Amino acid sequence: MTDSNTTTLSAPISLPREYKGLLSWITTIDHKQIGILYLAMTFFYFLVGGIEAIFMRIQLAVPNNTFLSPNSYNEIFTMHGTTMIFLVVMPMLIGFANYLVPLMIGSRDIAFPRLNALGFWLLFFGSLMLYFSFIGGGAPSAGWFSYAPLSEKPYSATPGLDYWALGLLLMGVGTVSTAININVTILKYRVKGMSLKRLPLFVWMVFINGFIILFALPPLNAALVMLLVDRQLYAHFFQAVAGGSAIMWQQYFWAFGHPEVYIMILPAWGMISEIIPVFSRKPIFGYGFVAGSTLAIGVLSFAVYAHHMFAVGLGHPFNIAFAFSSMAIAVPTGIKIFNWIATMWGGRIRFTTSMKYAIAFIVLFTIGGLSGITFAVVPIDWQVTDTYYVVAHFHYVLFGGTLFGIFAGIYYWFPKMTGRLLSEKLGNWHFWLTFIGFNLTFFIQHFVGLLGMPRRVYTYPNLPGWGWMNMVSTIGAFVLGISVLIFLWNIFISLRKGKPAGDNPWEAWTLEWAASSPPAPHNFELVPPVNGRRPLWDLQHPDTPDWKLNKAES
Amino acid sequence: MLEHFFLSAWEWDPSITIGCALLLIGYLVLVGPRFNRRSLYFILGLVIFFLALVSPLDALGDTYLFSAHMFQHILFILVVPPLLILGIPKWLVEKAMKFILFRKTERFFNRPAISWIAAAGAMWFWHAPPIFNAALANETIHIIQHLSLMVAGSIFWWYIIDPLKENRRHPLFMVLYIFTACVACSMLGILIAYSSPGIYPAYLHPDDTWGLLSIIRNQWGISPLADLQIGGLLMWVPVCFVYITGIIGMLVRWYTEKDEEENLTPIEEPAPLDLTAKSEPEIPELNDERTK
Amino acid sequence: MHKDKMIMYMVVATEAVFFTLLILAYLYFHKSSGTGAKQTALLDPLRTFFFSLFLFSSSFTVWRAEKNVDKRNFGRGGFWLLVTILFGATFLVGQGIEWTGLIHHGETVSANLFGTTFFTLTGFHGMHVLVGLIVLSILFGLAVLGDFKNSKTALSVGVFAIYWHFVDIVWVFIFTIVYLGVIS
Repeated sequence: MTDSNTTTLSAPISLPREYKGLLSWITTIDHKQIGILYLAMTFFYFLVGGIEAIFMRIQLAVPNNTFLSPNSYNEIFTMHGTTMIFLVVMPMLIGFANYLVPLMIGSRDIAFPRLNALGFWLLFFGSLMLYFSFIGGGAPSAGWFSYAPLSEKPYSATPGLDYWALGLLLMGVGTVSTAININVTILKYRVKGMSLKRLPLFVWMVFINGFIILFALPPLNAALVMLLVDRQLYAHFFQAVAGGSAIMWQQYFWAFGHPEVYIMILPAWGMISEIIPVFSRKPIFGYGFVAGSTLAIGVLSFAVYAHHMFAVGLGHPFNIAFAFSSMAIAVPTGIKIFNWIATMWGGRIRFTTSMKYAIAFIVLFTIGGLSGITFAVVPIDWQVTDTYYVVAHFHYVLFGGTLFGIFAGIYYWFPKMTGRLLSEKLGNWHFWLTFIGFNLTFFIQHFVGLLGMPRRVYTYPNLPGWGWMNMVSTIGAFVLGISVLIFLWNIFISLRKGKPAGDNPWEAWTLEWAASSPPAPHNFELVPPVNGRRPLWDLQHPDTPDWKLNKAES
Repeated sequence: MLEHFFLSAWEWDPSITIGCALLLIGYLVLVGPRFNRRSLYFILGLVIFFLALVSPLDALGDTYLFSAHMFQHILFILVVPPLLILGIPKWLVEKAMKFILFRKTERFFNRPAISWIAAAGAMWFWHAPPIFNAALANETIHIIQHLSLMVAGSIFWWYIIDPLKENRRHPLFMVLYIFTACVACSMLGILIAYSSPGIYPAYLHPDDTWGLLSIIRNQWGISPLADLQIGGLLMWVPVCFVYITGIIGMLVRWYTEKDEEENLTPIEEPAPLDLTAKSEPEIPELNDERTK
Repeated sequence: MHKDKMIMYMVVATEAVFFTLLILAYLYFHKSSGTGAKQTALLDPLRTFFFSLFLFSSSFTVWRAEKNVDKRNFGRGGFWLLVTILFGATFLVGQGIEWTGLIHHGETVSANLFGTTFFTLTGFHGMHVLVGLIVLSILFGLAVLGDFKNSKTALSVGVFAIYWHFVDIVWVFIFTIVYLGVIS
């Protein structure tokens, strides 16, 4: 049994024979390598999407700017949104799940390793197809949700949207196959003793997420297919002039689009639920509530989607019904926030970079959640829809939320994946620059949005307040850019000279910390016995294991 | 007009009144006249059932508002049955199981596929326009409609809250069962919410026996289209919450039940922590099947 | 439940949602576009039913194939697989005949909303049948080569059968809704 309390100052980390060489990475079916491939690819696209964002912010820094042409701007914000959602956030979370789930349940690999590889390569080639559009006649420029009829041939004549639709279809197949792969793994490959009620919360969230993906991607696929049939075969699904319905696109898209935002946050919630207990030195408060509320959200996420369509004119019955459900879905989310705070309460907090990101997550995600709730009030939504208020809201939940959660996860699990710790000093700089840069960029957007500035506009007139607010936002974006550079440097330098981490640098309790850092190709020599939710705690504290103290805990 | 309606649109149909009274008396005789949680559930279910049929809701739904009618149906299929079933004590069911007819019926219907299809089938069947309109026109068909919805709902919920606990399946399977039923109901609600009011023509120009039409159309602002949409939406969004309550109930059950699950080492006597002994490594082959 | 069957059920679940949405689009436009009733008159439910019988029977034949392979009668199993392929192909031929007939009458995917929704819906169903036929051919080849003696490969027939039954059930829905006009 490996000693998990002292760091092993062994020889420099050398990759096992199986992982050496480019060919091993291209042909791998090992879930850890595939997970790292996901992380590497998505991090690359994070930089691409970030550069697209910087371009947007430069164009918007001053009124009536001419840095980007209107069409270029449209292409860039479309690609920024599509990239960040489909090529960064979603696959990054899937990559983490891929890497961590088998380790956390004590399995050797994922249920269908070759299918796993297929999922990654579909994503990879789908992304190439999407980006090929830039040189293939023009990138898509109808926004990341491509409303009809703008997305139809008469209004979007370049093949950009076809690349968009095809790329997304390819990626969608990859995403669904990986999600069901992971879910089958969770159902069939848990080590003896790990019942579904003892799953690490990250695994539970990924599990529920898998089902959301299973049910939410088909509406998108159907809509994309219908769009392609319209564009390529001159059909009429979304053309009102021929009896079709542009609104149907919105219905189908948002039937996907709303569950999608939960797909993008659930695994991050899972990461936070792992990290906060470890750095508070307390087990999570209310495991059952966190797990149960997540399942409730999974189900409810399909019942709120038309709140993206309050301004479409569906009528009072629709608006009221979805306003009601949208307000209700705040409850299970709020339950989790309280549970995380209660976990920290009375704990011995260790302010590692990972923990700082996790705490910041709670604050920023709550702010994003609050602005979201304001939208559930239909008349408010009518005022702020399609303004920068919306942009501020979703960046708070997706960046301040998911991305901060991902950063927390990176600092937390990087040692496990590479055997080296990331520099805490550089991490501190990274954290504060990110925190300041992020809030500088996006907080002010609430106000410029409330002042009426619409989104997806390539420039704006010199109205009172708009100019300096946008300038502040742009400055914030550059601060964010610097923070990313620092992060890159941290990764680069830590891979080479980072402190060796040992198996369990954080004294954590879930099974992945029983494997070596990095884990051997087969993950575990021996899996510790699992009699509760914190197997390593039970192992290290034979006199006070969880199962002895909490008879009620299963 | 409105107060007059709410005061006098009560139909104390003898068959319903006597039937419910008999049911209540029979229950109290069988179970004993105590007022614990279980009997309260049953009585509540019975009261809701009774009110749904005799109160102005019935008149409102039969004549004026499709949405009111839907609300009544939702009570029949999703609210009354679970309450009634929750009120049935385990020993009563065990006694009933001794009768071969009851046992055979219960065994047949207490299967996920059957009970699921019974509920979804009843819902979809009765909303087909020709059938729904026939039920509005013909009182016998209408009674059959209400009864079959109750029966289908009872079959659906029996599977979930079977008083015989040992027959119940794993709570997570129930979650899937309830979720898919929610989807089936929502699909119907969606179809109706996006239809045109002409599918149920009786509600386009209702018989204004109570003089409420102008209040409904003008004061409340409910056009036939809005009425249809509300009806469809009722079957979609609020009903989702009913199903979610069921799902949460399943989760509560799962987290509080004693662990008899497979894949578990018993908590009372864990294996002694002998660190020298090898624990069972679960190292599956790359392409293997780990059948259970 | 074996993991292969489990994942196939999940695939079926996600595809079921996909087809539901295409069917909903068909239903919605059938009522709202006003063109639906006229075009459905061009369909020939009887002839389509005849060809559908082949698809329905192929569920039976694939079931027989699965049972025989389970009992290690690989020759018979291979035979039933071949029959399934033939029946499935016949169904597709029938679809092809129907499509050509409609197109000759000017009913194309771009002509009106009925064409749009009809061809998309039946087209994707046909595509799923085609994919199934390709897999069936591979399974048949495996049967001929004697690969089913390995029990892992033999399981694949049962797993595939889940997919094939699903494709069949989807057609039941499409047939009743589009050709028999139930619901619409």
